[in-house]
Amino acid sequence: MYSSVSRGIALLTVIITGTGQAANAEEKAQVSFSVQPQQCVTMRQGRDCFATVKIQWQHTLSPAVCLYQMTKDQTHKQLKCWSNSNQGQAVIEFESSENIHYQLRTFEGDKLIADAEVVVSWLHKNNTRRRRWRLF
Amino acid sequence: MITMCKKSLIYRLTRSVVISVFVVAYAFSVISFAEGAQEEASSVSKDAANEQQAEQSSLLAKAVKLAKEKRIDPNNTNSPVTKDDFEWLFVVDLSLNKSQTILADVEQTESWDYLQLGLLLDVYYKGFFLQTNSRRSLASIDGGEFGYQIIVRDNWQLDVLIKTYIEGFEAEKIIEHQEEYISQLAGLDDRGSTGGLALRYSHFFDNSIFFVDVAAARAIEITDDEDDYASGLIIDSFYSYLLPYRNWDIYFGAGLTFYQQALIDYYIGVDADEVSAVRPLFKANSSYRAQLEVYAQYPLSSHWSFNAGITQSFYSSSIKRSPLVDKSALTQFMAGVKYVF
Repeated sequence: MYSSVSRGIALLTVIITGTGQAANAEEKAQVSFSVQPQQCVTMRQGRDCFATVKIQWQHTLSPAVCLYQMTKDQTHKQLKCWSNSNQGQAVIEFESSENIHYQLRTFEGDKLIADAEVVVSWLHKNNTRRRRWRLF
Repeated sequence: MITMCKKSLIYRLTRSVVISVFVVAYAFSVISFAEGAQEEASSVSKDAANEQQAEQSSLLAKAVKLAKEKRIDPNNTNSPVTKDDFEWLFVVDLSLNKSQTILADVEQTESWDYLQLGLLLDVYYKGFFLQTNSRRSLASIDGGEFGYQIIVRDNWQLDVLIKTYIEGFEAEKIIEHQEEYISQLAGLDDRGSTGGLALRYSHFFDNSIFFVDVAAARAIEITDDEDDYASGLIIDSFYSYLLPYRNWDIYFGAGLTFYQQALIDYYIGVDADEVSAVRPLFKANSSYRAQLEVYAQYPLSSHWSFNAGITQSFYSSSIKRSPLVDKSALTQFMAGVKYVF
């Protein structure tokens, strides 16, 4: 259904914050963040693309985190939050004509932990003239 | 009568003067406002102007970035009222095809009959176009049409074009590929394809298109026999409605085509020199064909798509009177993949 790219795992961003021991602990923290599929294909440029997107994350620590969807105006819409968990998953019905970023952020401080993008692509560019639509 | 005309004239003059006064007053108020705004603008500090300029630059950069991301040419307004500039589309099509023909007892017999490989090329340049039927797998030129866009408007278009409207057949070659001998077709003269010079009117709606071709058509001769051809009128119309469902494009189509008598007679008529024990002399009438169609496309990736469709065609029942014909309704089905370059 989707390209082989979609089977890949979107990687991770490690955010280093804090000072002293806390900083050392967070420096060692690793996050895996996967979004599948990473590509949604529509027939024609400009049309909404539909996909069921599965998002999974794992963190070596257990921070309270929230999953956000970045909107066009660069504000983020909260989708789901977890507390006292070092892993989680969410299933989202994707519907967009443009690329969308998904971000994992800390509940407190709203710090970015990981980011991945679902790219919308298309089979035909929108500047082609309307064709005859006939089969036989 | 004259008095009434005078009164009417006076009324119109008065109304014109009143409107003119209002227009002039409004124009002055606009000019005053503009001058005021200009003075106000000139009083804005230099820093503020710089900030504004920086903001505009930022917005412009964002727009360019967005355009690049979307692979949109900012200069391309995609205006449908301009004729197509250079544009091309090349598609390789591999499909399975279950098809029928009106000719008596003719069936698909070999595996290759079901498998079709099509190289579909569409080219557009300054109003000229060469396009293949993008739904059908055809390796031959039969599916192509060459034309020129005479008038292009927002919701309608007028083209002149040449294309093949009816495919010909060679009876002996058909018989060679059939499992059973078809006596009705044996010894029949070859029929060439019918090409037509047509005017096409297309009307575009939000999610649908209607077009009608009015074509002066002529069967292209295969033999040297100058009498062995036919010409006539073909009126071919089709309406197609696009129903998008999630990532699917589903098209519902209906068509009606008229073929003039001489053309139908050329294909399914039986001349005196073709008469045999199972094939009496036959002269065909003009004919209609009605079509219903459902076609669906699904994008598998940014280059591949899955396509499937079914078309049901109904010809005038009178064609079954021909000894060469045993069906007046045809069902055609195709399913396959396309690669778009």
